[in-house]
Amino acid sequence: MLTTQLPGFKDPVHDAQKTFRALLDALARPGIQQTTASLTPPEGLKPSCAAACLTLLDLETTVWLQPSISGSARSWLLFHTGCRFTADSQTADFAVIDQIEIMPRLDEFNWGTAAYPEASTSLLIQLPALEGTGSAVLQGPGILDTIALQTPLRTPFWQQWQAMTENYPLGLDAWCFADRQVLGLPRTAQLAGRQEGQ
Amino acid sequence: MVDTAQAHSRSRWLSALAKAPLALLEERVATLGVLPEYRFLRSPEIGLAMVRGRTEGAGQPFNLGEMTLTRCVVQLSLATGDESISGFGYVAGRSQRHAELAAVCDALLQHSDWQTKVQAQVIEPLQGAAHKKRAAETAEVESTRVNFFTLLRGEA
Repeated sequence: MLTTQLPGFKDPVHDAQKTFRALLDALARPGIQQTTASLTPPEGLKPSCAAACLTLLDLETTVWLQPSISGSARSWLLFHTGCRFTADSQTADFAVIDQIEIMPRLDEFNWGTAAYPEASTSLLIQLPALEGTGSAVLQGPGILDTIALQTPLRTPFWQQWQAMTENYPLGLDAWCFADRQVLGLPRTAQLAGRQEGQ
Repeated sequence: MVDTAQAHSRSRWLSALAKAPLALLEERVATLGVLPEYRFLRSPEIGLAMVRGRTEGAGQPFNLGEMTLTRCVVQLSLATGDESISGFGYVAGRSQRHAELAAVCDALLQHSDWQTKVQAQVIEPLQGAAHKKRAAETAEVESTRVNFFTLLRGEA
C-alpha cells in the first residue's frame, strides 16, 4: 500500500501534549514508569512508542529504524509525521529499536559534540515488557539515593551504558517502551553498583 | 499499479475540487444525498507551502512565496471492508470544510458504485462553472484588445 490505513492520535493536540509530558517526566525521574496517550499502533510498534514517535518526529527529524521493523510501521510514520529515514545510525536524530538482542552498540549512534551535546541520537527502545530479569541500580539527578531496575536489558547493555556515561556531557538519552508505559534513561543516569544479569 | 489514464483523470477532478468555490461545492455535494460513513485518517489541518516558480517557465527555480494550505485525508468505511479507500483533499486557504469535502469527493470518485454519480453531479458542474467564469473573464479582457499594425512583424 502507498498510504497507511491507520489514523494517528484521536485528539492530536491533547494526546501529543500528554505524551510529551510523559516523556519529559520519564527523563526527569529515571526509572519511574509513565503512561502515554493511547492510540492504535501499526504492526511492529508498541502503543507508547508509536505515541512517542507522533509526538517527537516531524519533517525536520531524521529517523533510523532497526531493519526488523515492518514496512507498515514505516509508511505509518511517514504519513503521519513526514520524517526522513536514514540507514546510517550515526546521522539519526532518533533511533527506533525493536530487538535489543541485535541492536547496534551504543557507540554506533551519534553522541553529539562538545559544543552541541544535545545534537545526539535519542533512542526509542521497544521491550516486550518493562519488567525483566536484568537488574541495574542507577543513581544521578532525579533519583533519590538509588533506584533498582529489573528490565529485559542485560549486562552487555549496561556495560556499554556505563562506558557511555563516563563521556558525559556526550552520550545518548533513551526511553524504553512496553504497552502504554515508558521508562526514561537520561545520559545522567549512572550505574551505582555492580549489576547482575542473565 | 496506478495507470496513467486513471492518474490523469484523478488529477483533473482533484483540481476541480480544489479550485471550486466552497458554496458551490457544498451545494453540489448536498445533491448526492446520504453519503457513506467516513473517518479522518488525517483530520483537516492548516499549514504553509512554499510556492516555487521558474524564470520564464524553464529557468532556475526560485521561491515565489508561501501560501496557506489546508489538507485532509478521509477513509471510507466500506461494508465489504477488505480494501479501504482513502481520499485526499488539498485546498488553498484556511477552509477546513472545503478540504474535508474535497477529500470525501476524491474517495467517492475512487469507489465504483459512486464514481459516475459524483462525476456527473459534482465534478462536471464544477468544471462547467469554472469554464464559464474563465470564458466571461476572457470576453471581458477581449473587449479591450488593441492591435498594433506595423510594416514588419516582430517575429519575422
